[in-house]
Amino acid sequence: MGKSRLETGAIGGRWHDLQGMLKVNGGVLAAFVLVFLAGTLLTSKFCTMDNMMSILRSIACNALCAYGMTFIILTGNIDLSVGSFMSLCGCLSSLLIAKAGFGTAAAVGIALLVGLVFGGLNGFMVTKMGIPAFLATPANMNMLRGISYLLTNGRPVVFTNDVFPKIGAGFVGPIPLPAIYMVVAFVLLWIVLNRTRFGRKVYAVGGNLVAARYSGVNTNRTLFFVYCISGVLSAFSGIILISRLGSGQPTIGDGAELDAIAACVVGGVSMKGGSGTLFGALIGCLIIGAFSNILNLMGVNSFIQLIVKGAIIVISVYIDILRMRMARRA
Amino acid sequence: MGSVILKMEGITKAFPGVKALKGVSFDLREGEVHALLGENGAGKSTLMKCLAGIYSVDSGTIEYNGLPVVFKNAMESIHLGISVIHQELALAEQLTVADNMFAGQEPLGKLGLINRRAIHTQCQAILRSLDANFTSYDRVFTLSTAQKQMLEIAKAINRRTKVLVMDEPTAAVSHKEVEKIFRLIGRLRDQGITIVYISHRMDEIFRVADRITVLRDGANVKTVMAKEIDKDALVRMMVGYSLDRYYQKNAAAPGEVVLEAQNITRRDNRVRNASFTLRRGEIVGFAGLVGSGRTELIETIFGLCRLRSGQILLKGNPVRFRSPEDALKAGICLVPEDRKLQGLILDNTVRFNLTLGVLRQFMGMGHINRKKENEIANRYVESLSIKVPSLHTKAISLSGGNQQKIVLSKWLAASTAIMILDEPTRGIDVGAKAEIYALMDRLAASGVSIIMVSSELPEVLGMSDRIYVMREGEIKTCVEKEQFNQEEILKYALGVREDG
Repeated sequence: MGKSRLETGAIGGRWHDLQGMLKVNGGVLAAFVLVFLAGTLLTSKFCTMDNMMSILRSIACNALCAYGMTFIILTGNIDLSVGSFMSLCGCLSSLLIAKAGFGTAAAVGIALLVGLVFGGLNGFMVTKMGIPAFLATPANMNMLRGISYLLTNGRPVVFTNDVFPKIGAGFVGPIPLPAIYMVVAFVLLWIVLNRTRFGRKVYAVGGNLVAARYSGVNTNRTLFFVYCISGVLSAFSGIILISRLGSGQPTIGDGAELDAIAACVVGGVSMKGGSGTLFGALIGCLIIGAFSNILNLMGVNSFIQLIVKGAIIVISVYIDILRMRMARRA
Repeated sequence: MGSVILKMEGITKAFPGVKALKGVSFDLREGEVHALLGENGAGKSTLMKCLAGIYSVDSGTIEYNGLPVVFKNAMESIHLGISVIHQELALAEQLTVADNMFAGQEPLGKLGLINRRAIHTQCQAILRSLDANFTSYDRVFTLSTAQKQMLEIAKAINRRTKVLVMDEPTAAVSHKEVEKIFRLIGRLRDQGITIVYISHRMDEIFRVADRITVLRDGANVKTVMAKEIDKDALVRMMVGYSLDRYYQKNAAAPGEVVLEAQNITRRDNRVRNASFTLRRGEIVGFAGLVGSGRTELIETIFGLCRLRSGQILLKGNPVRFRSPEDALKAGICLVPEDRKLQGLILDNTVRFNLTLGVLRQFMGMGHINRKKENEIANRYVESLSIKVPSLHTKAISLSGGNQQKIVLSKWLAASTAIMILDEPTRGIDVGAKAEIYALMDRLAASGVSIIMVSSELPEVLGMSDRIYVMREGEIKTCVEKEQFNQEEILKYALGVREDG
């Protein structure tokens, strides 16, 4: 008996991975299929190439933030400053182009660097200063939002540049560029989370901080990097959004953190930390995006959409809780 | 002494893997101070939790004033007049003394609001009767530990308590304040309140107790009048057991000194002036009571706490670990006391936990050698016969013994030179214990040096080459294998003997 078990462990690794993936994400996938079918049945405009592409384009920004948020939540923390990163870094890149005459690449690079630095500040406050994340990150949010309004004077930044708008509004064939960023970022981050020591440490820190430290994990460093990742991703998300909008508007990204958290939670990333997948977060994003797309196509009032979105979050968190209770009983 | 007020008979209580109480009987008389004495894990606290209604008993009866009672929860026991003051005082620090005294049962005035005047008046009256030197308006965080103890006692009096259980009331109290608590105990006894006094401190027990019951290994040894016995006889009663046969320990031929601590004092003073040595292939035991500073000492070795003074030498070179990461890099690992809280990622898989310490061996930048990872995990599952359905089983669903084997294997995989084991066999069954002892022996024979902290004296005696005894943050003595003697070690741990 012992032998056969050991062999399945060794040879069937890949099969096990797939099985495990289905076990973990099966529910979310099923929910996605349901939403998709419902959309197809409810409105003929849903299941068209054009509409699919527009869904992808509209969720790309949220997906990028949700990836970062997945890392954060996996460590058992939270980042409530995502939206202000979008605003500051998006506006900064447009300002650099419009006012300082920077090239597109340089402007985007600097904006991303700023995202990295302020992400690091979040990490510093949470680890070295020991400020709880739900206080440190909103504090940072206020600062960044303030800087963004100061820089722009609270008015949209108008820029004339041919390359920059392409970042967010461009296409490759029929596929919108943001959708491609979304996929590329997914692949890269999936590798980081599942194929590097750092990824393991992220799960370990969220699963049991003390045990992780006793196992030689530098828990502070792990948390710090996780906030850096979230900072860069939300900065990039803001740049894409500004580029697509065609002007640097400091008001963007309001509530983006909650959308990102919603995607993670819908995708089965546990708020307790230590369990959840990047794939789940992506599907969570798709579910929310498809859902609001369907409501749009059916002409449902946007205020009602907000209510629906809230309800989805409550339901998915409750499902997570039920699942945990069941696992405990088993 | 009055009539019997409470009688417990044939009480048994089992937890998964451990039989904590194996048929304890004892009785309390009205207005006596009854000391409960026993080693760590003898069952004192479990017995009192059964009395307080926190645990339900498996079998046995409790009679209160001659009537059989069954406690379903703590409230029922409190309503009958039984109060337990736990070692960790349960007070709301930010609230006033009066608020704490009435927590949950405040008298209500008009409109259903709390009648503040009533609670303060009543509270002041009780405090005055206890001769307390604080007022009902004081915030609890401003009180000293002894004053907090007094507040707990006042709380019990306010509930018209007949039986008061005090679990180590003097553990964190200065000598001067201990006197106050004793005077208070005397006064309560005169009022006809029965007191159960749990303590390790022999002197205190002889000062306050009328009768003494000794518990050992989940059973009561004897109840004696305090006047008719001396310290040495009590220690003999506490030890009593014969060494079990399942300790496998081959005579070691320890090599050169690999680790040496020279007069180390922790920054928070919880360990003072401790010096010890550890040789290659040696098992060194640290004995002492719970709270004697053993865990705190090894925390300093493992980089979890900074030193105020002294130094640690690793193979003769001074080292300064700032984090467990540093200690691990230098080849020192720690199997912590609480495997669930400190050792395992419970919600993750067996494989994840087994390989967490050796990620470098199979993970590079962006690639993972699954075959290697499974190989490492399987090697230890097999060689330690860890019983798991698969490597993908979550750690939470395993038995204590198998969980402990996983924590151990994590460091075997990392092949560290020095292993620190804190309570390596706590809460695991006899079979798994024997396997862990055998493993320790094998490791020592292969040249690994082991520091073992354990509250089970037979285990320390059975496995160690040398034993350091700690008490109140200091190393009191070092005993060589030829001089191993349970009674002597216990005397040092209890502070009955003092030298060295």
